[in-house]
Order: sequence, then structure tokens, then C-alpha cells
Amino acid sequence: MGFGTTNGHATGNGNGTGGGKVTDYTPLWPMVPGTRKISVTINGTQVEAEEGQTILQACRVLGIDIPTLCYEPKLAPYGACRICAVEVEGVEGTPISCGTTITEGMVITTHSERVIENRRMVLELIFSDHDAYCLPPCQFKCPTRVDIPGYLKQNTLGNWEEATRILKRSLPFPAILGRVCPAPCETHCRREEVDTAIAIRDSHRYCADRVLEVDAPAPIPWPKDPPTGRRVAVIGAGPAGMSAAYYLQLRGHHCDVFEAEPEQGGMLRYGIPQYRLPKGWMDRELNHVWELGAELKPNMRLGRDFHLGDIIDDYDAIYVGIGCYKSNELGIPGEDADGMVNALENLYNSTRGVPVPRLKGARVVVIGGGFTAIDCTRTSVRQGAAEVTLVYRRDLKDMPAADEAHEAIEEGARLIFQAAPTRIMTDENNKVTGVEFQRMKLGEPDEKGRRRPEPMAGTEFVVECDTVLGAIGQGPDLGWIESEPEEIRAGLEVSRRGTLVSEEHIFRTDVPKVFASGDVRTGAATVVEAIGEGRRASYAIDYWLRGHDLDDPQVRRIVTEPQPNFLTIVPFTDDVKEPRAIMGKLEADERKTNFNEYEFGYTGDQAMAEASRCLQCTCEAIGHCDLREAAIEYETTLNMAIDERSIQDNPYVGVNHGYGRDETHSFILRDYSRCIDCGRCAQVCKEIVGAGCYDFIGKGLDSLVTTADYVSLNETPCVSCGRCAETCPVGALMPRPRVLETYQLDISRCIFCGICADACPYDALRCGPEFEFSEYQRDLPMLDILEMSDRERPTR
Amino acid sequence: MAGALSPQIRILSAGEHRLVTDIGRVDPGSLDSYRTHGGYAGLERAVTRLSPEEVIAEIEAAGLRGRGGSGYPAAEKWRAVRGSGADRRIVIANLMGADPSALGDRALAEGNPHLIVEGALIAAYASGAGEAIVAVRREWTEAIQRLRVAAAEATDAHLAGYLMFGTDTSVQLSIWEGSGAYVAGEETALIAALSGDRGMPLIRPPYPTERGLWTVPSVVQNAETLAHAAWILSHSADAFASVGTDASRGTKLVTVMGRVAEPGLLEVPLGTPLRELVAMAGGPTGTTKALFVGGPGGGALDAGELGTPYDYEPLEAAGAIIGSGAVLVADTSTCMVDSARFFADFSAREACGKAVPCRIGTRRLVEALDRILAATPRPNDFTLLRELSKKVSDTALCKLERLAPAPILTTLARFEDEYRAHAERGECLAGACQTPRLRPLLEPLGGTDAAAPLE
Repeated sequence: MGFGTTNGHATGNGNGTGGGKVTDYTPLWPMVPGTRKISVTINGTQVEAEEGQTILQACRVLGIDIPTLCYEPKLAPYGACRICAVEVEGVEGTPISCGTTITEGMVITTHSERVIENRRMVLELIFSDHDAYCLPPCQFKCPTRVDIPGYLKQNTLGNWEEATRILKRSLPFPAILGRVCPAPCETHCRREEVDTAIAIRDSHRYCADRVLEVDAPAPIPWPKDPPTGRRVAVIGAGPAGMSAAYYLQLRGHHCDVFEAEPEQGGMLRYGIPQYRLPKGWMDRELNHVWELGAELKPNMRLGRDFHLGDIIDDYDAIYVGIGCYKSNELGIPGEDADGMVNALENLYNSTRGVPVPRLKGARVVVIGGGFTAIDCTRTSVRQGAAEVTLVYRRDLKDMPAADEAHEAIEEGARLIFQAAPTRIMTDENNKVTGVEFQRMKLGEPDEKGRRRPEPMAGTEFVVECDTVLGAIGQGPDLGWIESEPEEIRAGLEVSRRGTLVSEEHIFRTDVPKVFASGDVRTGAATVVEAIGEGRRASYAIDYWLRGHDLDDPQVRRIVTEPQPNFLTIVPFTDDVKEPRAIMGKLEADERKTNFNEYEFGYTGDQAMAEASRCLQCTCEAIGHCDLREAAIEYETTLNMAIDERSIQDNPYVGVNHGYGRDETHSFILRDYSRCIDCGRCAQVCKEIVGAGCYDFIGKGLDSLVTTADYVSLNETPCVSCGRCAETCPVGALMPRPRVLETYQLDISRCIFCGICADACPYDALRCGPEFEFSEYQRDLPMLDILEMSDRERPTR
Repeated sequence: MAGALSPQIRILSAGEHRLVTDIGRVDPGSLDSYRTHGGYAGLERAVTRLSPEEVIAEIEAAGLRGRGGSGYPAAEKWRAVRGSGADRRIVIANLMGADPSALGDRALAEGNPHLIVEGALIAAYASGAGEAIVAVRREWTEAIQRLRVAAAEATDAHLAGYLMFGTDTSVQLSIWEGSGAYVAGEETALIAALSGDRGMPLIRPPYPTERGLWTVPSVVQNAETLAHAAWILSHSADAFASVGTDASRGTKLVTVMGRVAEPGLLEVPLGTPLRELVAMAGGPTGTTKALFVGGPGGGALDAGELGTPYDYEPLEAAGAIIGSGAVLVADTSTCMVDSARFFADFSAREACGKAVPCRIGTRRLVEALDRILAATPRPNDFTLLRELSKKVSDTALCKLERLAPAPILTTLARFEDEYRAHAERGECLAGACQTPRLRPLLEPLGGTDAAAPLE
């Protein structure tokens, strides 16, 4: 098992991915004895091929990856998709490789600029009339790409453990994120078009809580791989480091997790207040990492207790995920005044339960609009401050922690928007007496769409206070780099923003063995982003430890998890409205005096009802869709590996079809909108099965491969063999999910016609030698088919 | 008269009359009438006095090239099928009339059906085929009727069927009617349709001469070519080659339409300059601006290119083709963008749906033209027209797809000012379009952002 299902069959061979560069091609399997060899030139290399092979077959033997959509190996080449086209010297146009027989001395180019452009054109044309999803928007917007429809489906059944297992495939800590995640997924939920978005975060909080409650080993996403003997040092036991360790451990590498503080959790423990994330509960979930065999090395601060140079020889790889612990300075006069408190230090103390006497009865001003600012505000309320004011330079809707703003107001804090500090007012003893602010107006939107604040002269005003908490962002503390040995220091680059530079998507630094991701790379971000970064870094490290070249495009294609984004959405018109389930919580008066968790979570019924609201906008074929794989390789749509391209960049967007879905058949599910008209099902059904259920209908853009007059499959000669679903390169034809039944064979009635073995598309029944012999044993009343299948028999 | 042609077919008197000579003189419903005018003399000569190889040699000496548009030498096809030595071989006469505006084949089938039958039988004899199928477009009911009568009469008279002319040569003759569609005129699509499938092109190679109908070697030949073959056998190779150019000998049926005084069907020697074609059709009725030569996949030539000879290679060099044998004359009151859209839309609507670039790509080209006509172009629409056209041709499954973008490319190369005026100012330089005429059509789709994604 690999990482999840999104890899599909991208795991081709490593030798030769085209690109036009001269490579030594070696055949992946030997030639059929007795065939005549002919010599051809492919991509500038002289190679041997078998006589009678097509260009495509010869290239597949050599491991040259030519995409195909309509090619069905069992049948004669069809030539509908035009994507396998190559260039052949002396031949007009770009002939298709599946239908061109190779001849002596042919000069073939499989990945020239012209061919690639043509393939891209084919894909973009298909996408311009492909009204379907790969990933639902929620899943796409989640930095961890967690399978949201998948776990919600399990939630509807009350199958909490399976739901959690699905979550843990890409998000190891669903209970923690169920409390602290800003839920970027929910803002893109399609249910919003019907009534309100699904409570995705609250739903996974519920199922993960149910699993944490029981005293049993936590579900793991896939059986742990056998130990590889490799050792990885993970530096930082925060969200990034812990999720990297979780997946590396599952892949069989041993992890030692170095942590500066005495306990695990990083910012989860020392930044996020108890009332949002109870630490005991958090530990239960983080402990899953140690259950897998990783070891915590506490009180080891990088740069103080050890250096990379000390451990680099003891480990096969080092992962740096130390986060952001250095508060940005306000950069205004009076910052050294008595009464200026470091926001992170304040949170650090209060999360450890250390009282902060200074805040008791104080008049506090918090500057900033992020999660640190709002945590400081609400913590100050709970610490007994007399008056708390949060000042943010943008509008409420642009505030990163906008969700919590109303809760802070309920608890008595005052929020001022569109104002920025100009100086700290002090008295003669250099004690803070207030902060002077200037009003801001909102100017032009920046690249994130947030409007840039601009100061308005003459609008200064003063907020009186005695304590100021500046929480306008954090950066990583990279002072430890200076104390590293020269060869390591030289490979660690600090960006202009003060973050550690590592290669995007594969998280490699210039120091061999050393990888870095999470906040230390991106700058202060959300927990869910850190977890996503940590997991993806673990993929890169795993591939690297297994000896793959991270520069190999095949490997890159897997580790970067590029996600095509096809969001041409048909508005959802079903008017069944069900309100979103709301979690119960404590009233402001009850919660503002203590650090207890104030949200209760769902009840089981609520969680099931909420999950059943999900529209399941996902493609069942996502893991094995040839179209999607080709789209990723040819960068036709949004692809994180190169640059962000989206459907808007598809120049061919025009009139398109939104076909319906046919669920009438018991075994085969048809979704015409996903059909790319490759004709494979029609060919297979006619030529192999003989039923001929499908064919092209209509002319021009409206042509579609479907049944005659679009009738249900039940009205056709369909024999329910499933070969059409098997051959479909996309998700247009799929085996319908159903409850598995056990079939029984009454051998006393069998006439050994062999039709069952012939018809079975999956070779579940085969004509072995015993099958023939058994004719002589008909006196035996009942022969168990299972017993027959257990016997050794030569494979064909 | 019994042998009247369909009203839309008018044969013009100018030009070099060979195939059309007997139209109107022979009674299409009577074998005797055809034989009185020298009919079946060529077939008789071939079957009773010449060996198949000699027939092929004579066709080769005449220099007969396929009149269906590609100009492939007929003798080579026949020889390839003959040389295959297969047990079963088939000759298919193609009367599917891909381009509905071209009248040549239909005129022959209605006015002198025996000529086509005779040609098909000669081709069958020469290539060693035991079957000859005349495939006719279903809409041409009169032509089907007359071909059926002709086939029955010829068979009854032992000119076809078993033991023709008392020799041991046998050719089973049949008339097949198929649904008319643009793509059905493509030879592999015709083969697919004949074998019972939907008429969609197959991959070439293998060519039909190696693996055709029901996988046997087949000669697929346009009806006009077969008629020429019959003419050659009954006259002589030298007589056939007496007109035409060095590369392309003989005559060709041409349909001249549009802004001319007398639109109709001409038979002219290959190599006749386009200017003369227009003159033979009564001359232009306005100031000629452009000629669309070759039907839906043809190209536009401008007034300065009227000296181009009507011949395969010179036309191809200029960006047009012989194609279906149609020549559309456009004068200064014709909008070139709208004309290009008309042809492109025809190709897009008639696409069989098999190849992706054709099914979707041609429609996208029309959409780009619609946007230009509506004066609401996207910024890169001109690049899109050029690039996508090139790529659609590049990745084409069949010849019709390869040629489909030609009207756009040729008009864009010669009349870019008209495109620019439409796109930038909403003005039709020809004064023909009431721009922005398509805006109301696009508005229900949300203007140019027809499929803008929800974000």
C-alpha cells in the first residue's frame, strides 16, 4: 500500500520519462523468443524492437511513458483520443503510436514540443466539455487534502472508527484539528448553495473523539510497513514534526523526535489556550505517534543542547520543523517601554498554568488580528484583566481569526478595526500609559484579495492602557544556524522573510539529508497547513530514503500530490433544506473566568445527521482515472508542481454539457458527464462481450457514447459482466458499490460448459487442469469450489 | 422526359464534355438506350479482350487520378488490391456525396447510371474483385432508383453477375443505400457504415487496399473516377490524356455556385484557370472578392489568385483543394468571417464525434468566430484560431478533420482586416453582417464567460 489512493498508477518505472533527452533505454521485459528484431531510433537512442509491434508497444517495453485514453490492449487500435500521437520522421502530421506499426529504421520522437502541445490541446479540449469533479472543493481547499466525502459517508453510518481511519490517511490528528482548525474547507462547501455549509470540522472532531474515548489501539491508515532500518531525526514535536514522524513511522523508518520543551505539542501545547484545546485530550491523540514506535527526546533545543552537525552522522535524514517562535516587532517608538509584553511568552506562561500577575486587573491592548492576537485577548480576559481591547488594521472579514471575534466580544473584549499603532505613550518612568493609533482606510486589494490598509492622516486617537501585547506575526528563530559547522551553515539559506529555505514540494535543503517544512519554511501559518507540510515532507523523505531520485519527474509527480482543479460546477438545485447542526457551548459568563473547554461537541445523532447532509461531490474513479493522470503530467490544469493553472486558463472553455447520472442498473453506475467519448466500452461490449449495449449517438459536439436512445442498461442486452466499467479510463462507468454476496456452486448440477469461466471478467473462475478432470468425478455429490481454488496449479 | 435530373442540377454548356455528354441523350432507365450510345463497349473490351493487368496499364497510361479529392492514382489502388491475391476482394463505388453542394456524382447517377455501373465493373475486373457495391446517399432517391434499375438490367443482360459476357469473370453487383452525412464520404467511414457500424473513420494505415470492408482488400473509388475509367476503356487512354496538365490529365466535374450569373455543373479539363471557370458560369455578378474552392474543407483564394489553375497541386499550394469539386464565388458584399464560420460550423456539426480534436476542437473554433462576429472576443482569440487550427489538422484522424480548419486559416491569412474590424469595432467591412449580430445568442450563456467556473 502506498500513501493513500491518489497516486493511482503513476508509479511507472524510473527509466525514461521522455522529455526528449537521450537516455539509455533498457527493455523492461525480454522479447518474445523467435521474433525478428528491428532497429529503430526513439528519442535519439538506437533501440531494438520486435517486428510487428506498434510504436506504443515498443515504447511501453522500453519504459517510455506515452499517455493513452482510448487504447484498449485487447482490441485493435481505435484512434479516437489522439493523445498517444508521436512524431515520426518523414510522416505528415503526428501519427498515433497505438495504430502505427514500427518499421525498420523509423525515427520516432515521443516527447517533442509539438507532440506535447498537441497532447495538451487534446486534454484541454476534453476538459472544456467535462463537467465533473476530481476532488470536491472542500478537499481541494484543505492543505492536508483529507478525504472529506469519504469520512462523512462513514459518519452517516455511525462508523466512527472507519471514519477516523480515513481521516488519518492524510491527517493524523483529527480530534486536535476538530478544535483548532480554521476550516478553510467549509468556506468552499457546495452545500452552501442549498442552505449552509457542512460542519466538516465539527464532524471529524466527533468521530475522532469517539475513537480517543475507547481504550484501544488507534486505527492506522494502512498496516505499518516492515522496518527499513533507516533512522530519521525529527526536530520539533509540533504539528509539522509530529505528522512527519507519524507517516515516516508508518512507512517503517524509525524516528527520534527532538523537542526543546519538556513536553510534546509545540504551539499546540504552548501557544493554543487550554479552553480551545484541552491538553490531556491533545496528548492522547499525539501519543499515537509514540504508539507507532517513535521516540521523544525532550528538552533538546536546537542550537542550545545540540546542533545538526552533532547528529547528522547518526541519522539517515533530518527533518527540521521547528516552527515560528519569534514575535515580530511593532516597529514604532516606545517599544522598549515597561508594560510591553511578548505575546508568545504570555501565551507560553498561561498555557502552562503559570499565573500572569501582571494581567490581573490590567488594562490591556492587543495589537493584531491573527490567532495569537485573539488567543491573547481571550486569555487576558480569563486572567482577570479589567479591560481588553484588540486593535486590528483591517476589516473584520479580512481578519484571520474572524470566527472567534464574536466570542471574544461576548466575553467582554472590545474590538477596534481599521486602526494601526503609531507610537506607545509612556510616562516619565517609561511605563506604558496608552497607545496612539491612526485610522486606516482600505485601499486596493492585494494578491490574496485582501484590501491593503492605508493610513489616513489626522485621524490619530489614543487608547489608554498599562499593558500592550503586540501580536502582529511571528517568524522562525534561526539563530542556531550560526553555531552549525561550516558545511551545514553554507547549505542553509534564510529567505528575505526570515524563513528557512527548502525546495517547494520536496522540502529538501541544500544540505544533504536535511529537509525542512512547516512554519519554519512558510512563516507563521495555521495548524492544518503545518500538518499538511509535515505529511508531504514525510513522502519526500520516504522516497529519498528508498533510493529514489527526487528530481525524477515520476517521483515528483507522486510526492508533490498535484491536484487538478476542475470546478465547473452545475449549480445544485435540490431544494431539500436541512439546517446545519450546531454544537452546544457554555455561555460567555460561564466560560470567561476559567480555561475549561467551552464547546461540547456533537451528539452521535447530530454527527450522523450532519454527515448525511454532505452532497458527496467527489469522483469515485479519482485514484485510477487516466485522464486525471495525464492532466497532471501535462500540466493542463491547476498543478502545484509547476505553477498554478486553473480552469480559467483553459483557452477552450465554451459550451459544455451537463449530463445526468444513470443509477438504474444494479451493478453498473453510469455518469455521462464524466464520459470522454473514447469508445472503449462500446468496443469491448461489442467485440469481446458481444452484447453491443453502447455506441456513439448524436453528431458533432453532442455526440456521446451511451445506450441506444439513452435507455437504461436494464433495457439493453447487458449481461452485467462489468467489462465496460473495467475498461473505462475515467469515472463514467463504474461498478456500483453493493453488498458482497457469497455465491455457491452446486457441482452436481454443473454441466462443465465453461461459460462461467469464460464470462468472468476478473478471472475469479478459471479453467484449470482440474476443471477438465473433474468431469470424471461427477459421482462426488458436492465439490467445494473453494477447495478447488486452493490447489496449486500452474499459472498461465 | 423520363430521364430528367433533379431540379437543382443544371449542366452548363461550356467546357469539355465527356461524362456529361450523354446526360439528357440516354434514357437512364434503359440499357438499350445506353448501349445505342456506345455503352458497355469499354467493359466488353476489357473483359473479353484485355487481361486485368492490361486494363490497369491502360488506366495508368491515361493518368487517371481519384476525383474524390485526394488525387491518388486509380491504377495504383487497383494494382494493390490485385496484387494482394486475397480470396475475396471488393470494389466500392462511393456516391455518399459528402458535400451536399457538389452535384457531379448525383448528376451522373441520375442522368447516366450505367456509366457508373460500367466503371465499377471494370474496376472489379481489373482488381480481381468478385463484388462491386455502389454505395449511395439515401436522400438521393431518384439516383438510387435508377441505379437499381441499371444494376438489374446489367445483371439480366449478363453484363454483370455470373459469367459476364460469357467469360469466366463474375462480379456480383449491388446497390447499397446509406445515411448521408458529411463524414460518410470518407472511405474508411464508408467501410464502417457498410459493415454495419456507425459511419466513423478508422485508422489509416491499414489502407482499404490492404484491409477494407469486412477486412478484405477493397478499392474505394469515387463514382466520377469510375465513370472516367469507363470512358477511357471505351475511347482510349490517349483521348483521355489529350486535355489536362502533365500531372493531372482528363476532365473534372466542377460545381460553380455563388455570385455568378449561371451557377451550375461544369465539366472542364484539369488545369483550367479559376478565372475561366467563373467566366464559363456566366461571369461574376458583382466584384469578385474571393473563391472558396473545395467545399467545407476547402480554402479561400482572393481575387488576385484567379489565375490559379484548377488542379490538385497548384490549389493545394494556394491553400485550397479540389475536394468535392465545388467552387463558391463570393463578391465584395460577402463577409469573409461569416463565410468561414459557415464552413467551420458545417464541419463542427457534421463531426462524427470520434476524434477529440474534431468533436470539441472544431466547435471551439466556431465559438471563437462567433465571439469575433459578436465583437466580444477574448484576448487570445486570434492566437486560438491559428494555433488550434494547426493542432486540429496535426492530430487529425481523417482527411475531413485535417481540412476542417482550412476555411478559417485561408480567410484569416487573406482577409485579416475583416476579422479585426469585426472583433475590434463590431463593423462588417462587407456590410453584410448586422453586428454584433450574435450578441443576443451569447447573452443567455453569460456573454463571453459562458462557462465561467464558480469559485
